[in-house]
Amino acid sequence: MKYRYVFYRCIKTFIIFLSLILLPLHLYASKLDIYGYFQPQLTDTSSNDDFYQLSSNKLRIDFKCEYSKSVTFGANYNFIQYSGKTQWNMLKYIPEIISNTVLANQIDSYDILYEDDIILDNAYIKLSFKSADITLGKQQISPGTGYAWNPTDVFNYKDLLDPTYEQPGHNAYRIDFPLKNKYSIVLIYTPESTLENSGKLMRIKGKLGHFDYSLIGIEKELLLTDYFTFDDTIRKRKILGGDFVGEFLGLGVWEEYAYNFIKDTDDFYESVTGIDYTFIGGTYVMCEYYRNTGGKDDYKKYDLNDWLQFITAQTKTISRNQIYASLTHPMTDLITAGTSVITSLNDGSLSLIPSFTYSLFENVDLSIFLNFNLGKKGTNYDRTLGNGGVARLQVFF
Amino acid sequence: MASKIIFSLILLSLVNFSTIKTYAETITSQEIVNKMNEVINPQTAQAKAKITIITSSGKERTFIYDSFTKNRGEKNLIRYLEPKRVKGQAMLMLNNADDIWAYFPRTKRVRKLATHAKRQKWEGSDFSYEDMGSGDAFIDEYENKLLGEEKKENYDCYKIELKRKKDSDTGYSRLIMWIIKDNFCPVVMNYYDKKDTKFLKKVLIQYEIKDIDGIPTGMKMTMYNKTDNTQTTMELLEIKYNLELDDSIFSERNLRR
Repeated sequence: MKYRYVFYRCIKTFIIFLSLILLPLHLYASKLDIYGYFQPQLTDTSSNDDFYQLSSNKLRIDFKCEYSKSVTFGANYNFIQYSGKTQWNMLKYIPEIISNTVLANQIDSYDILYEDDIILDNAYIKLSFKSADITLGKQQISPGTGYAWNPTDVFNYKDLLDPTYEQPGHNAYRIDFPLKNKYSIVLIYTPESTLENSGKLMRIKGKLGHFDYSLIGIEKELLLTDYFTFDDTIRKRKILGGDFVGEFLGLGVWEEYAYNFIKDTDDFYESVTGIDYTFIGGTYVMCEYYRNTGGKDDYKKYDLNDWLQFITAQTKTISRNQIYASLTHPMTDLITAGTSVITSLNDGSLSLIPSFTYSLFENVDLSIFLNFNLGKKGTNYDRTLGNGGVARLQVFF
Repeated sequence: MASKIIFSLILLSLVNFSTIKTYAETITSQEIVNKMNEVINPQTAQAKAKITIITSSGKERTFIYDSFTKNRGEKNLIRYLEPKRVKGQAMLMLNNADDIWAYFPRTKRVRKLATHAKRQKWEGSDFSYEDMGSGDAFIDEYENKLLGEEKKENYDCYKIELKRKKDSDTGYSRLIMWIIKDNFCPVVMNYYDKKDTKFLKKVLIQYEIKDIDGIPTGMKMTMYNKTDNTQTTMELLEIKYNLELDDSIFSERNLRR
């Protein structure tokens, strides 16, 4: 018995030793690529007479390995460390007229904590066959043609300060079937505890003239928290929608639409319509109109749940109709400046977001975003909610 | 957008010696432009190239990319290799860049772009897609005129003026080109302001024109920006011609790879 134990220990040690020797060789031979970025970031907020700072350091390390033309492995870890004001009370960032409705002894329940974290953000393997690509594991899912809002994207939340920032990975099984040159079908399954409450997505993509279009069907649960009682409600949600993107009269145009069938409550729809144009000299302008009938058309009807479900990204908007407009201009060969404006058509409030990016060195970018809320009290972009800014350095390696 | 420009640069550097002929004095400007257009658009090509940008403040930025082209520039794919900041970004252009798709690996998104995106500068460089007239732009967008013959960069050249057609929306009012008489390679190109026909904005010069596998190839070219006092240089690191390139290379599926 003892000899058998020693034998197994030896075998185990040998295998580990062999792995340590062979793994780097194998990874080298199969072209493992390691890259990523380091991102120190400072977020400042001033509200009434208060001024707060939250700083973070994010290290993202990506691994990509092409074993062959048919097999690719990809993954990334995010290491995030916070300092400064890491505890925020959501009630401070909604209109007083609403936050005052919360009982004093419940105020602490609305705290949000920023905690240091290490996340396996993505880890997937992609198998490419002649007739299909299969991607298994944690992966990014980003449907839709919209820029600031994506009605057909039930997986992610976009920060309007920087809508193009990378999205997190989601555990999913994905199959892409290319059908000739013009069509393809995408099937995505995001497993949960049962088959019934797992997410399902089917997207049929096609080309028509100079337009790309797609039809999409989604089934995914909708989580809404009642912020008066802190009870979670999970409702069955089905979405039928579609999108297109192309060019019309020299302008870039796009549309994205989703009709949400929600069990035991009212249905609603979301749509995004956008145009863009680039002038000679590189100045770029774009404008997007977003309508969400799940939002409210009168700011006097906004309540605690509307605000906090929006802040916690359970819903995409508070007011029903919004416009996002943006202008960017290359000031020099290394500096780009721009301004974005978000306005709620229902309450007339407005948020201004000047931005600035500077290529400091090769692979080192500095980005600054400012945010000024200019609406009247109680509106979507209430000026008393405060102003802020984010300074972000990204060092790519 | 950027990728299209890069690709176009490669096209410009490809000159087909098979077209070499001794032309009579009576050759017309249209024939010269047609011939030039043929030689800068090879049937297929695969290249690795390096772009170096010297900014107005003297800073240097470098990009390396792979490119594939088929059907004389009708299909193009470009994928960035360096710097790390843009690594993996790719651009697919079909139908002579009337259809453009961009892939961003950080978000795993493919987005179709409108053709006005061609006006954007490529990553701070002095090139835009329009500068290179990929496809038939030099024929379709401009009227041409032979101004004479001159020696330029030690080559005997035709001097050709291209004036923007009235219905064209191209970004330059006129171009002056010096096209090598022996092989119809444009060795120098002057680009004039969209409104002011006398305001010289940019100058492109091709250097080190070499015969590679029977095809004369500009191994290096520099765009001098006279307005911003910057310059961008493109060097070919690897180049192959007349390859069998499968159509699947020029697909959205491959763009995501």
